[in-house]
Amino acid sequence: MMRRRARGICAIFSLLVFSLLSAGFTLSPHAFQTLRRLAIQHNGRVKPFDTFARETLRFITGSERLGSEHPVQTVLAIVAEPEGWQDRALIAVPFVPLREKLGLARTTTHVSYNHLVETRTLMRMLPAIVEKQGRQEKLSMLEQETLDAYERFVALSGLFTQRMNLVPPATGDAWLPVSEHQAIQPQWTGLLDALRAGRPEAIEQPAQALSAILRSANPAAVPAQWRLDLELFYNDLSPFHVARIFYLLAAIGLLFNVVSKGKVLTAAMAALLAGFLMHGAGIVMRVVLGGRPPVSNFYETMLWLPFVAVAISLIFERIYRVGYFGLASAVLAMIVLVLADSLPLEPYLSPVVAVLRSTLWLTIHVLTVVASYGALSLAVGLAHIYGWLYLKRGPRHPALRSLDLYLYRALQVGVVLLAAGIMLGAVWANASWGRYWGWDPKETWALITLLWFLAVLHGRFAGWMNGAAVALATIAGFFLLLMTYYGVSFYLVGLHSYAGGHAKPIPPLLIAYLVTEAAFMFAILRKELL
Amino acid sequence: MRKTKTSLFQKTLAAMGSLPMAAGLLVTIALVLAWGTLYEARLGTAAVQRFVYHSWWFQLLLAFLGLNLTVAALERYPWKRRHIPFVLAHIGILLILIGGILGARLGVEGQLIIPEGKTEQFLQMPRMVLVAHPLNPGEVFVFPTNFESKAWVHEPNETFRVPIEQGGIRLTVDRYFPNARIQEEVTGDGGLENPGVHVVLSRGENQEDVWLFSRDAERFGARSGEVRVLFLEAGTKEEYRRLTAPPRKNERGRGVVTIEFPDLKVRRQIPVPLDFNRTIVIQGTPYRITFKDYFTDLAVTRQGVVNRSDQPNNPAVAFTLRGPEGVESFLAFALHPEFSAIHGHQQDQQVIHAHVAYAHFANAGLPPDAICLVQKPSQELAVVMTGENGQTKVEDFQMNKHYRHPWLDLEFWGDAFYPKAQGAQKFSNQDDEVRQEALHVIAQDEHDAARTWLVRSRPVSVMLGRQEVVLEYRKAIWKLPVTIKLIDFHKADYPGTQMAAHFESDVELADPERGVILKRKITMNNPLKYRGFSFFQSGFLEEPVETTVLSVRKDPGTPLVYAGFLTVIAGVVTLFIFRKPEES
Repeated sequence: MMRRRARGICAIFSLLVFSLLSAGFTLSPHAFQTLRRLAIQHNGRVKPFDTFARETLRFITGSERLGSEHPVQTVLAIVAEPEGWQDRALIAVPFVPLREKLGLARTTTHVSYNHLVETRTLMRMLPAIVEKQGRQEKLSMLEQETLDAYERFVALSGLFTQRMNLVPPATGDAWLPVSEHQAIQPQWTGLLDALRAGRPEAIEQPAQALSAILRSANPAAVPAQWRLDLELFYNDLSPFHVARIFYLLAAIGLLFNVVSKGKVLTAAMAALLAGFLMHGAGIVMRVVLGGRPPVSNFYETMLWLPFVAVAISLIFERIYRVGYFGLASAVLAMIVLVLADSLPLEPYLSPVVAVLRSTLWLTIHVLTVVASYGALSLAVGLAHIYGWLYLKRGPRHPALRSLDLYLYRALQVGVVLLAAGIMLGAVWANASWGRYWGWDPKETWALITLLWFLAVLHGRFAGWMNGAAVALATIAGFFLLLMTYYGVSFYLVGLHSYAGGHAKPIPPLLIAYLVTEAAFMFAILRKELL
Repeated sequence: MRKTKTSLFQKTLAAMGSLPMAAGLLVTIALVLAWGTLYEARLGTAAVQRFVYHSWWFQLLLAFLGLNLTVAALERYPWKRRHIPFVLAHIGILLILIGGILGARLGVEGQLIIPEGKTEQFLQMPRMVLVAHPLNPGEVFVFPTNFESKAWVHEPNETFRVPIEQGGIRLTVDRYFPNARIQEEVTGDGGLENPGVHVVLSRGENQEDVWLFSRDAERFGARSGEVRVLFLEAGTKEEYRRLTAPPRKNERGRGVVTIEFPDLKVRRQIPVPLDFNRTIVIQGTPYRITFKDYFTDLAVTRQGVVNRSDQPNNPAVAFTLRGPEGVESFLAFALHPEFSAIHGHQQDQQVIHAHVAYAHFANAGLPPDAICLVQKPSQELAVVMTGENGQTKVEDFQMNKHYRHPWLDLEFWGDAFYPKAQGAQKFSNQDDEVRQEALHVIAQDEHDAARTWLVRSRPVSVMLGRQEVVLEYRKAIWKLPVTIKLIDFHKADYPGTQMAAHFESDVELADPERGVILKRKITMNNPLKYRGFSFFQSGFLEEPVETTVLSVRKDPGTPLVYAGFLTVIAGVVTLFIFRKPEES
């Protein structure tokens, strides 16, 4: 059933694609379906060509699509007619100092293959970096970015030279590049010739022939048809984009609900629930496709965090039926899902480093810790609602008393989850490193966050923190949480750094956020003290 | 409300267990930790571990938190039902703190680094030590150091006393560089015969340069990608002819050792046998030879001498000669006839007067894909270029003349050649992050002083008058009650990538005390546990030989910490059971 639905959606989708084509040739719907289903080994996994095209384009250019054209179409065009693409500025250079080094204008975001080949500036920078790596010295941000740019260059040149591992091996598990495999050559060149000729109906037959011969090379090595279909369905659906829209609707409805006292609660909650289900389905699909737990890289934690926040808010909404939890979680989920796609993170199912490979304790540890981030972020959302009402309606607004309790509850859940997550992490570390605690920056910052929120709970319990003070302290705690979750992975060293990447420049968006938040906190503090 | 006279002690106690104290302590610890991680980013992990987390004042702060928890729990005694979650949580945290302090005081944590085929018994501990080993009386003195925890102090001027007779030796560390840059300067005014040549290789944009010293076992050759560059000496015309001749093919065997006893005027050839430790009588002489080891591709590493590969890149044989004068050990290199004069490790302590030469099929010719500079008996240089299939081309080698390798896409030239080269190392510091440490040590006794730079795990010997002292800066070692032998190490990559998917070590643990021998496989997340020690797969080195890195840990505090976790969890569970009626 899934398959039929997948096909249906694909068909609609491809119609959409054809109305927007811009490459030198077109594919018939049938050829398109055949070609995007070809299995290919790439980055340690066998995947459909569709995913390969998306990943490769995103890796090289920083975005999945060039204009409105489907990635499969673009990648095939690049492979078939490299000459036309060598002068196009495709390779992303996001780091401004590197642009200057390469002799580009500060505002030039992309550089062409030929530019890099002709000037050779990039290539000249490499030996020194590789030598430094050999000496195990720490690379500067510029050097890291240079290596990244070089890898993009290599990926693009891989397309030009047809280094694509499309041929399943007879033995072993390393697939063979299509360009080096003699038996496949007639079909492969047949397809390329047809693509160059550019008549849609002429592409269909060679596409079919290539698909058949590739599969027949070793049918056992090719993933099951339902897996390929499911992955295409996942790619086309992009469940998190859909969820994000539902969350937006829910957030608008619930915001309206706060203002107009309970008129649209049911509809808004339904939107929230729909978003939640779509979000959950997306996570389940990733687990099935990747064959691994749902939180194996930074991107996946950004899917799991809001999912937990929404789940907790739905439970609290069942108890209290107020809409505040829903509002906080809908806004949070929407923001985090948008960020997950716009930050330079890898959204793909790429291999996991050896130490993070499936152990039960590790999975439970990460799920719990990220869940605690979700609960605490929900508390931060509630703290913002508290602060907003406090500023707009004054300290005597009746909703504030109950909001104070809700905030306290969310904090309790978050603190319990965080403490449990840290302890589970200790159990995992003991099982796999032989020490339950090593003062690694990530552990230390998680502990700092825990200590802070524990202090807040104790302060509230002692009675010397009122609702506004707790809200302020919660928002302040969010800075610590950001440091633990994001800052440590990218700006401090440590064992947990393999979960993240190398240091990136601090995004201006983050600075803007910090400034706005500080202003908001200052406004509450001023009102509180006056 | 009770109104009683409270003593100062009671007041202090009450303050100790108070909520403001608790909140204050929590925030203080959080601040210290936050500062610690920033400190770590600047100065490195070792520094912060020693300076913050394991320091007495931080432990005191934690102990104070423990006191606060205890008092807060005791104050509410006798406990009522509603206190249960609170008391459980506090007892749990207390147990975790006690377990942590116990582990830090009584536990052992270190690393075992074992190359394939070797056995190791010594743990490398996190702490660094300065080791002094005066060869007379031959005792070893170990001084714990603490330079890395204050990595910004570059002139520590710390003095260690080596208490030996004749007045003792003082070691003063006057420079400490946490991240040293070492630059080599080679000059031609060394007093001793030591040919050195500077070669530049150029491939398109890439240029590499290297100093080669024909008499240095580690510096006579270098590799650049697939290309080998060698600098050899041909002492006789015959040797020169042999080196420049095309290689003979299909030769096998371990070669032949030739020993000449000038006093006896006897010259004997002994083929290297397949088995070791068998004593062979050298016919017509009072000497006996025992072969100890054979290497096809010898390399000197931090773990000692290892065999890099099965390829005959640097064949060598180790043996001992036993005669009326005593015993002497030899390490003979096939490609380096000049090293055969190296007897054991001390060059000056020759016991037996003998000339040793080792002939191996590899030195019948030169390795493929190589650039071999050969110093002729006339002191002039020649270059032999070899191709993949044993082709050779010989030319005279002149300084600053560019040569093109006929079978490799490569250009090269030499720009300096000193028959009496002398290398000097210049040390400078790059930043305060502890990455590549270097110490400058002044050793002094009553009459003499000697200075030297020390880098990690590289022993240096200095002379104080007639006293020779070996100095080393290395990790502290700790002897395990068991030995571990690495039988095999494997690493599997994700298909089609070079990213390790998992790695594992087949080891053999031997416990001589208990007469136990265990064979186990250690993999990631699957440690070997024995007598309270756990051996974990933590890393590996691929060069020059496959080497496993195991972390070893013994922590008597772990059960307490785990009990603490369970108690805290019980506390949280009871919180939901014994909850007060809903606040509204």
